[in-house]
Amino acid sequence: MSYLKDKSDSLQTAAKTIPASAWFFMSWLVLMTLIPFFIIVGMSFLERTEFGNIRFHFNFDNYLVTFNVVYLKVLLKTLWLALIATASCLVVGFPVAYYLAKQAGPMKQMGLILLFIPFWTNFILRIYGIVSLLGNNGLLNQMLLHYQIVDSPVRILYTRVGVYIGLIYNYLPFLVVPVYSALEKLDPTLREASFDLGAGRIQTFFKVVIPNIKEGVFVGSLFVFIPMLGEYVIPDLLGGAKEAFLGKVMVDQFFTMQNWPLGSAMATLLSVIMLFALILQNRWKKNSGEAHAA
Amino acid sequence: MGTQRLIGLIVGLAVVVGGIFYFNSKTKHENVLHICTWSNYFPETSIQAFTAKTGIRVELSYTSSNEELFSKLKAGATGFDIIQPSDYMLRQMNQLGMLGAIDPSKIPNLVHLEEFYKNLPYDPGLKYSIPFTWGTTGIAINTEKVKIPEGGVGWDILLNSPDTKHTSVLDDMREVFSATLLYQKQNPNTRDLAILKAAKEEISKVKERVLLFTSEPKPLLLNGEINIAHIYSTDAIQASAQNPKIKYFIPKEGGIVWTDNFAIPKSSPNSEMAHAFINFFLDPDNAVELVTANHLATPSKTLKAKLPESERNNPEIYPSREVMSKMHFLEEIGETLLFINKLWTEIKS
Repeated sequence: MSYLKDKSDSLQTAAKTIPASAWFFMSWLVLMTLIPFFIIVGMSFLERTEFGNIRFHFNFDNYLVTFNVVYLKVLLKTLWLALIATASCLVVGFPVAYYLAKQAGPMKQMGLILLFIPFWTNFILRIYGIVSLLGNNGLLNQMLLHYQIVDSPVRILYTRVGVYIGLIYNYLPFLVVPVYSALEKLDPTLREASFDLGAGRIQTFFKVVIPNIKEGVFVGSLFVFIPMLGEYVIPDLLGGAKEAFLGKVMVDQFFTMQNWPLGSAMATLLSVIMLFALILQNRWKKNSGEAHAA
Repeated sequence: MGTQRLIGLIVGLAVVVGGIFYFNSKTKHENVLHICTWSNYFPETSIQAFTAKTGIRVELSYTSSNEELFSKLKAGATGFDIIQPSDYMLRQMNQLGMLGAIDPSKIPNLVHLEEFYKNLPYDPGLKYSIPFTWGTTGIAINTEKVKIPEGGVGWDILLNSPDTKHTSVLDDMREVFSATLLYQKQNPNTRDLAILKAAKEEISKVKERVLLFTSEPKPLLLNGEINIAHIYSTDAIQASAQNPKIKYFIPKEGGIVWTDNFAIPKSSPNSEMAHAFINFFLDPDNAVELVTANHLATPSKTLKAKLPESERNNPEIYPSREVMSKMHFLEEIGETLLFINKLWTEIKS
């Protein structure tokens, strides 16, 4: 109870500190995000008629269908895909963020700009670019064949590996930036102090750097993990649409099946999972904050 | 502070709501016809000719599938004056009362249509649609890479491919199910759950055998990524125009035939102008470019007579009577669709 009270108090204080100009953004959020979200939640309790209309008959059937083995399998597969891809992003992205944070002057600016230049191009075009890069007759295989590294083309496009490459490529900057800014904020004297107190580079990294930036790492990971759960274009174009992930299954319910209630139930369930991840992060942040205070 | 917040909130909401109304009203001009069509379907020159003749401006929006079109209309996209749904989608839209009646007296060019196309199973008598172009779904094969079997091409060359790493099937559950059902000598529009389950077992194996599911196999055929493709006739013939080694086949068990139609949504504010547009494009002289460029088949006998020899006598575009007798329309199958979708998800999960 006291936790809830804390929450409502902090919400009230938060509301008071929001400047008037921010209310424009708030009303935008309410109109464009919050209200549609509740429409989706409401629709998930309705019923599809034979030809794809929506009948106002309150029921939980859509959730029963969603908890069917098929859809749970799709959900688990999607969570697994997003988890592996997020971990890979972290492995690839952390050194990039670390390098950028250590740079000074123009190199740093340059690096950040380079990171986001691909986003000046349309998303679909970028994915088609990857398609022509990874295909059997694509640039990568042509090079491998030319330098006789392989005898026959390596099948990457239209496999799970192709999907991972696409996901990592597309989401990497969203992880790099929060990690970078956490590293940036890290007081360099902390590291110096650690060295002065006799810790080596590795010890300093794990005992001083990591604990101070873990929040940035967590936020960055969420930034890539959450949208990956709904991603359907990349698995379709790079994975050859041979596997159904949650995003695709949901889109199909809305656009192919005209089963908006079922699609809404799936979307609501996914939102609950995402909300859970955010609450977890919040809790964790609070706990680590208290640990620091102590 | 409180009043400031309130003012901020009101201004914010006003901007958002006002913006929506502003952009909404901006798109509603007098004398503009809004058409939702397929991409790369209408040649620019044909549309310009229509505007030059009637003074009616045309705004085209595009849809990539029947389902997307349906969703747009269902989600409340009003203001379309002409839509171009395929056969089975027409029936579904009509069931939901989304289509306005066609007034044949305003379309004198209907005389050009062959009688057969005035009585298609999904809209006999053309009460709410006019067939404009048609085509088939079959198999494209790069004959340089894959040997054509002596007994002719059947669905087995796709579904039990001899070149598994270079084969694609359409990413469309109705098309894949009907191909498999035809392969298994069943009715592609069956509602028999046991037969559908048997088809699903086959498709699960097909999934392991093929390289990918895609609804756009044309570029992959052309760049050599695939050699056998489940494909719409229009895409296949366009591909073979660029690479003559690519040939289109309608499997011996039969294939799927589809039509693209003109229909006027009930919500259209410009029914009169929409009729004028339909009439304009039923005039053979005005449609010849569109039909030739897309390698579509026309239901208009007058237009067919005007087409170049290479189009008119191309059996890939106009299959023989004997082949046509084995072709099927995809029918509206009601609740069975939900069952197929579940099987489809199972196949891909």
